[in-house]
Amino acid sequence: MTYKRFSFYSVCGLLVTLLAMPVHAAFYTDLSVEYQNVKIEGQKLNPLTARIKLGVPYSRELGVEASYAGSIRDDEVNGLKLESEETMGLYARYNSPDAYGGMTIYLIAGYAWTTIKTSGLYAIPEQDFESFSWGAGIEERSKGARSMRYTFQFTRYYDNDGLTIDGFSLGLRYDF
Amino acid sequence: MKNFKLIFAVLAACYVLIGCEKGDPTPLKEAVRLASLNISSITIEPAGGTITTGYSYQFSAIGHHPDGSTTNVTNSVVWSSSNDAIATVDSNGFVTTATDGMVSIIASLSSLDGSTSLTASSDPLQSIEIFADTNTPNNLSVSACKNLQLKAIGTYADGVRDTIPITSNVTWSVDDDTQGSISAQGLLSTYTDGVIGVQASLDVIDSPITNVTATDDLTLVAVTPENTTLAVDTTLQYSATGTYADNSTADITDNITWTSAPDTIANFNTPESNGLITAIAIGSTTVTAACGTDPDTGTTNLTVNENVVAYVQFEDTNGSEINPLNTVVGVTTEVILKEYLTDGSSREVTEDAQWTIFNNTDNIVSVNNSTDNKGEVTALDVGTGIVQATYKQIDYLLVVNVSQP
Repeated sequence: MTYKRFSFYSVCGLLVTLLAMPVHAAFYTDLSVEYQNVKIEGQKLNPLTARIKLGVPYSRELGVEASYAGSIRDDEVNGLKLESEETMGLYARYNSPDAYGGMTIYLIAGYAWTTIKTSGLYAIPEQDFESFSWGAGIEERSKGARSMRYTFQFTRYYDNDGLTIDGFSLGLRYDF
Repeated sequence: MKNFKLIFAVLAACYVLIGCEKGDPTPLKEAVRLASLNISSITIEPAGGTITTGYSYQFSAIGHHPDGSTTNVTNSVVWSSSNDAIATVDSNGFVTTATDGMVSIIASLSSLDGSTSLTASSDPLQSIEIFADTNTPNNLSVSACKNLQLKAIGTYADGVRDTIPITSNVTWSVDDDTQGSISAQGLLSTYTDGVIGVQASLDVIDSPITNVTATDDLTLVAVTPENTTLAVDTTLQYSATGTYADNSTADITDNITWTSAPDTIANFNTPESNGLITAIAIGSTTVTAACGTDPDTGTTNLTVNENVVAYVQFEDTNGSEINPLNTVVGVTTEVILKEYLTDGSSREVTEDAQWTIFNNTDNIVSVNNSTDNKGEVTALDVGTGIVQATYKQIDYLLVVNVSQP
């Protein structure tokens, strides 16, 4: 088990522990498709990932989240195929105090691990990148099902030494 | 309150996490850069062959694109040798052979490799021949005042011809240095039309003298800049472009002879001054660029003027103009007087000026006129004072506004 997975699973265990605590609500999960934007050496590559998120509200405004995303489509530049094989993140979350017509704005900050896999003519071994990560999103409650929300989120996963990994996701959240 | 504590804890954690990046993007950047270059294969030039043990050779790595075009990637690849005991290669593709044997020289760019096989042989050289890319030995020609790249090829005692030129290993010479010169890398520069003999030598082996004919097909010499002016004691770089019978053009600045008439106004220090002229006295002169005795010369006029003062100003120690000088009581400011000349140059003349207080304002400011401390202005009291610097019999005034600290 790599250090990355060990760290991730350790904090997931912490989340599960939090679930057992008397918190504001139960927990929620979010399934989304994420369009990533990998900027490097003047090139922009856009692999696609599917992401699942597990969140625990601590209060109406605060909570914690863990997310995992796996690759569903690579992108290519002149024979170099690049995919975001997996992206994991652990975040603290702050929700806007008020809901604007059923819409909530939130901010996240935490730590993310990303594994970039390449294939094709110029392939290199898998590369791991991890750093402080932040993001912002909006959620709108479904009118048909009160436990459902539509979500849109921007996440900055990595930005260092000429490499930037961002993600734009569209998804569906379900509150348990 | 509980939320605020949590928010504070989260912010503190973020502060700790920022800067905790892990991962080196360099390999990924290199792969993307390679993909951006769109190189599909790499070859090494010159391609394989026999080389002389103990000498060094320059190799180049050529990247081939899918469309057939090429890019020189010599300085982008990682060079390596299959056997460092036989030959080593540095990061610029410079191969040095140490002992006899076969060795592969490899150029790697990310996952792409290019290689060439070399045989290092210590068989003694038996002969050296001189070639140009488009000519055969003893029938070399070039247009007068153009350059010609030559290469030296050796043949060993066992009859094997050195397929890799020993151009950089031989010593080059010409039989008449008024007709041309040759660099250590075999670049022949001709100065006139005619025949010039070239020889390459290595140890005790001399190549036969190879005649290179510089043909008289120069039709026009254009000199730039045209009809310009120059200040006394300054220099100007001319350039010359030659047009040939086939309508081709070449920069022949370094190959032609530069003269001026009269040379008492401005002159080229030597005929081989490569177009750099120095203005000596006020007047006009005619600059001529000639390829040997070729009648098709290029000429232009040069007017030399006096280099005069354009303006003088007060500056601070950072070179910024200060007038007025705004300061406060008790502060001493170092003021510099600088003159700017018509050729764009400048020089500090602080110590050449006489510094005084103008219009009885010595109760507001004082100024130092002592050698090595000239121009030090001290604010004494609130008000407006005027400092006067007299240089070359002209008075320059600096307004000093003094306020309370």
